[in-house]
Amino acid sequence: MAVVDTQDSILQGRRVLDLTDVKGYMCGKVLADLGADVIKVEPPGGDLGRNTSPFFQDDPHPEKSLPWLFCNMNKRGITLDIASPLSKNIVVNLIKSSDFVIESFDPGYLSSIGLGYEEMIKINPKIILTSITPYGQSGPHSNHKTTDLINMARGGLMYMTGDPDRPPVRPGIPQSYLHGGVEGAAASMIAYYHREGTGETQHVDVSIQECVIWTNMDATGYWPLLGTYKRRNNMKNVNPNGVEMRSTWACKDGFVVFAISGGAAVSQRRVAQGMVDWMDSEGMASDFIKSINWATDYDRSSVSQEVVDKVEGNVQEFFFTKTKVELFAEGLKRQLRLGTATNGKDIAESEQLEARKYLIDVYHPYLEKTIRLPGPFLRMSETPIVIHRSAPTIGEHNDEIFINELAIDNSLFQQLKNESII
Amino acid sequence: MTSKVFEGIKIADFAWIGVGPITVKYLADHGATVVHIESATRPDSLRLGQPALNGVPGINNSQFFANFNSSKYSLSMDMSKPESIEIAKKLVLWADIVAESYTPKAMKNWGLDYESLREIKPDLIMFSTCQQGQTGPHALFAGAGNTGGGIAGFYTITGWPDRGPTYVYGAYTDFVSPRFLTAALVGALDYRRRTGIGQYIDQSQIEAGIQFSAVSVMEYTVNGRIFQRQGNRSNEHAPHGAYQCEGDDRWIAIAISNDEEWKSLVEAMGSPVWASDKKFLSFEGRKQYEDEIDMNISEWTSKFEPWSLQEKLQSSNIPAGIVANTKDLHEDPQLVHRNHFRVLNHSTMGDVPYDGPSFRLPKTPDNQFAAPSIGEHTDMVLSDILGMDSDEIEVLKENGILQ
Repeated sequence: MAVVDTQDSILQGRRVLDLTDVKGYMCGKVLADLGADVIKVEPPGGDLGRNTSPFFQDDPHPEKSLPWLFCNMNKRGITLDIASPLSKNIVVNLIKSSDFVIESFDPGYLSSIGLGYEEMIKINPKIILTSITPYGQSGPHSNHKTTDLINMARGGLMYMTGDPDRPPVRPGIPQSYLHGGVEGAAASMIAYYHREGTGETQHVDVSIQECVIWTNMDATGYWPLLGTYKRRNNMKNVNPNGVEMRSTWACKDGFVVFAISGGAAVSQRRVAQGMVDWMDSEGMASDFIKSINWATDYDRSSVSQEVVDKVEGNVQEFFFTKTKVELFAEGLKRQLRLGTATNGKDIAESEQLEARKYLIDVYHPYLEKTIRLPGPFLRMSETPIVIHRSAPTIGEHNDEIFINELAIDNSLFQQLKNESII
Repeated sequence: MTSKVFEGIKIADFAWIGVGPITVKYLADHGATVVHIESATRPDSLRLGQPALNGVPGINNSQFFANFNSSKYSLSMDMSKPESIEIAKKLVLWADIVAESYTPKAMKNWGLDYESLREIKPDLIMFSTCQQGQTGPHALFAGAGNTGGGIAGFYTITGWPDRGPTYVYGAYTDFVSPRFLTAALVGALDYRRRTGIGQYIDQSQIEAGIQFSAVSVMEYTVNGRIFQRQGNRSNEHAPHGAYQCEGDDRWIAIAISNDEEWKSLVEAMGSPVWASDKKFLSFEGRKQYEDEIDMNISEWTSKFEPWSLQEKLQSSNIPAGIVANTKDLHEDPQLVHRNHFRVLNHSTMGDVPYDGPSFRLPKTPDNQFAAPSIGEHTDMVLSDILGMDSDEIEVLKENGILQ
């Protein structure tokens, strides 16, 4: 078994009992990355989240779900039916030895099996309980049914995402539970900082709906201040006269993110002129685009669609002659604020991520393969984040934790196995 | 009497726009004393944005800025002046944490980079957050969360298969990054309390973002494939989408995971003839005929307004919900119950609702006050925190430093 030196980590010697399902996996992941011993508890047979696609080599097997494999790295894993009376002592012992319990059951479920917050602090007065649920622990919608789609809808991001002539659309990889999980980690750390200073502990109540609202950028103030709300237009800039300006562009091998505009803002004029200079240096700037005075002719609020179409048509022609990597590299040199719309291949091949060694290779014993995936979420000079363990297989640490650490006697262990409690 | 988690923690906040200010806000709302250092000569662009008071952009009118900067004091000074740099260094000596979010050259140019500051304050905690991180060939890339969302891979996976990549609304990586940064920053504070050792945190907002698009990266590194956008479709659900309701651009989202939920939906729709077709009984069948199902569901949903339809479907245990616009959010009974929007009194804008946090800490509730007008606390910071007398402050004003 790998022995890990977590001496220089934030949460060295701290334990997290991770009872979450897909709604909270990232909470335990972040706490584990910060150095905690996170024990992922799965029901016998494994988490339902293991059925989430895409799968390793398209095999829909519970050890091969890519989202599961990413979100549960650095954790140890056991299987246990926490609702069974026979597991009560084990659960009590696990809570006693933990600093955090994190969970994402329907509100009230833990109380119904005798493990509500009040019971938990009787078992361990120092425990921090973090609950990550779609709408929070109480209120008129707290028992509503959800999925990621419903969360993105009810948190406001979806209404503003997509094309005006089609239904609202969600981001193509489920996001709401990732937000809920990482927010749960941030909130848990705040509660932990308080506990370490004062000894006082508490029940942290995270609302995934509110987490999604916090992705709405500028939008929530529109209704109270202006009596309007933002609609979706795929982030085209549309001025009061209905003139549309582009923000994504096709190029030779994909798409880039770029805006050309003028008016009072010096930085915008500098970008516009910089792009025209580049096009001109390759003989691709039209006389028309060269004649534009970016301060007076191209103010976002007054420019006509006809002028915009001529300018953007010329820029588009130029972009078609370049790859996204070429556009990015020269855009960086000329400070044109030009980004790429990357896919997974671009990210895997990014020279920037390569220079920072962001993607890492983690060996997975069940797959007998090394998998390349995103590494530490940020860099800390004194307590660096280390990815030291692949996501656990189902019940991988049952022997280690139940027998070696909790010292359950062998006949009980066998009984629990036979009755499908482990 | 409730206590504040970060009472006594002091932050010199040089950050601007999204990620840095939002991260510092987590601590400010929970009791930290934050001096937000800004310049009227080169203001945070969000200060000039919408939504603004009466729709009129102005440096003290912007809720876009205010929403990210509650519970902070504002010191305004012209950072191109050496006197300002001296004041900044005094604030660093006062502070536990220095926060900054410029492209990685501004702080160095001012002599306020971590290497310089740790010499005058060895146990300093400092974070730098920017698009690409402090190192590497793209470190000096000047972009914003909208380019970040593209580079972190969100636009090619979002939208319709028959159209190009689609923006996720807003500056998406700006709203992924603060959550990670807050967890690490609070951890660094605890570590310093325990060991006396400060540290430097380097966040690339694109790297933070890729934690949320990891599946698309792995689909390539593991399976050698490019993750394809598929509108609102899902491999685990069918039907699954946004369906038109009665009214102007009104929609309800419905997600069916299994046979039982499908049965409930059919009953909720009044068991229409089309839905009795045997081909819809299995998940595979529903997946195969999803277009047909979507068309029929839309015809039914279009007779309802979305709030009442949400209640109707939820009462049958069907995962469904209004595709909320931001007006709906202000009227959502659950958000009212949680007191999500809190009215705070701003010195220029008056009473405006701010977003509350996404979590509740019952023993240590957040305790917000409104964001500052620019330079609102300049005199207070210089006199009460830095101990300058009024003559010194007057000289700084006359020399045009404090703007």
